[in-house]
Amino acid sequence: MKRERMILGMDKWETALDVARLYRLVKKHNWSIYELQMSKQGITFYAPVYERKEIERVIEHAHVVTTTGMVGFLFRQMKRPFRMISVLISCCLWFILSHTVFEITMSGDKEESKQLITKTLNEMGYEPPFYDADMEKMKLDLKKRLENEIAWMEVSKNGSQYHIQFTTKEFATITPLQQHELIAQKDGVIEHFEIQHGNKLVAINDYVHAGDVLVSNLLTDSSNQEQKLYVKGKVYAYTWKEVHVEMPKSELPKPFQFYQLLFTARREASHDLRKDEKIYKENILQFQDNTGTISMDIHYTLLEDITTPK
Amino acid sequence: MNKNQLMIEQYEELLKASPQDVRLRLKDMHLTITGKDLKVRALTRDEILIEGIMEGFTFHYEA
Repeated sequence: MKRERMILGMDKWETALDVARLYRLVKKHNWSIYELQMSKQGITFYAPVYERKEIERVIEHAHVVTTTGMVGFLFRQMKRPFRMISVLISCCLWFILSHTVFEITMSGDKEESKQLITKTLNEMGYEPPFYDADMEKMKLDLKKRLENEIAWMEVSKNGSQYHIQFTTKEFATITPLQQHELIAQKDGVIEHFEIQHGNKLVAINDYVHAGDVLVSNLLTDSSNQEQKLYVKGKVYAYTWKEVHVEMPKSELPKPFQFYQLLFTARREASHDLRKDEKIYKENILQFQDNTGTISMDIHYTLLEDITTPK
Repeated sequence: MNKNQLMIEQYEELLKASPQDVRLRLKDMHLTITGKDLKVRALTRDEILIEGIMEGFTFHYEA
């Protein structure tokens, strides 16, 4: 008999039937029987499980001794309800747990957006643990709800965990226009203007003093009427600064000490410079070597926005 | 035929099966297999598989 057939499952039959009659029945009903064994008690043989009903019907006193293989195992398990119940519970638990999301993790550029996504998910009913019904639907709903806040979003599943990646939308900052005049904060010579609104009262290369109005919010029209204007912009001018630096003499060669002092002075001159402001010119006035100390005096010409207070 | 097994196809009837001899009716003859520990391993409508130590085969042609 083929081993596979035995593993799949066969009925072992026992009957007191006469051998010759059994053979005739096999021939007549087109059965397949295997492993025939004759003893004083009768005959035993194996037959496929699907022939059980017919054999029972045809051979009156035949009975199944056992069933081999997987089919037999299943039949035996069905006779033990607790075992079947525990298998069913295990299957249910496996199904439920494998379809449950226990955690949502996020990675993105802003903490506020993470909180917003968490809040929105909670509102949508996706508060872990929840049943993993349709990740794509969740993603689309979430995208729709946050279309004004989130520029890009991707949701991926890793085991029983959702991972959300996102990028927040960037918005241009709109500054309301003001009508404040632009006033010089320090003395200088005008280098250039970056004016969007306002009435210029000075020109390039004009020397201006601290407190001078550079860009006015008033404009006289053709009928000599004063019109109020918005004022927005910057005025860049050359300004001056003198820096004195000194340091104790060291073992280093003199050129090194010179550059050490020079860089210290540059750092001091530029430490409150903003974006678009720079050192325009540098003149070393004096480099002194006193007993135990070296000092340097430098005159800097800076290019600064003189209208915005520092 | 394979080792101690003999497969017979298109047999008509199994007349006797014992550990010492197996008798079969074929189309035009009777076949008697003698030996030791003879067993019918499988039996279907058209095929029969016999296993055991086979010592002799006797054919009786029907007149």
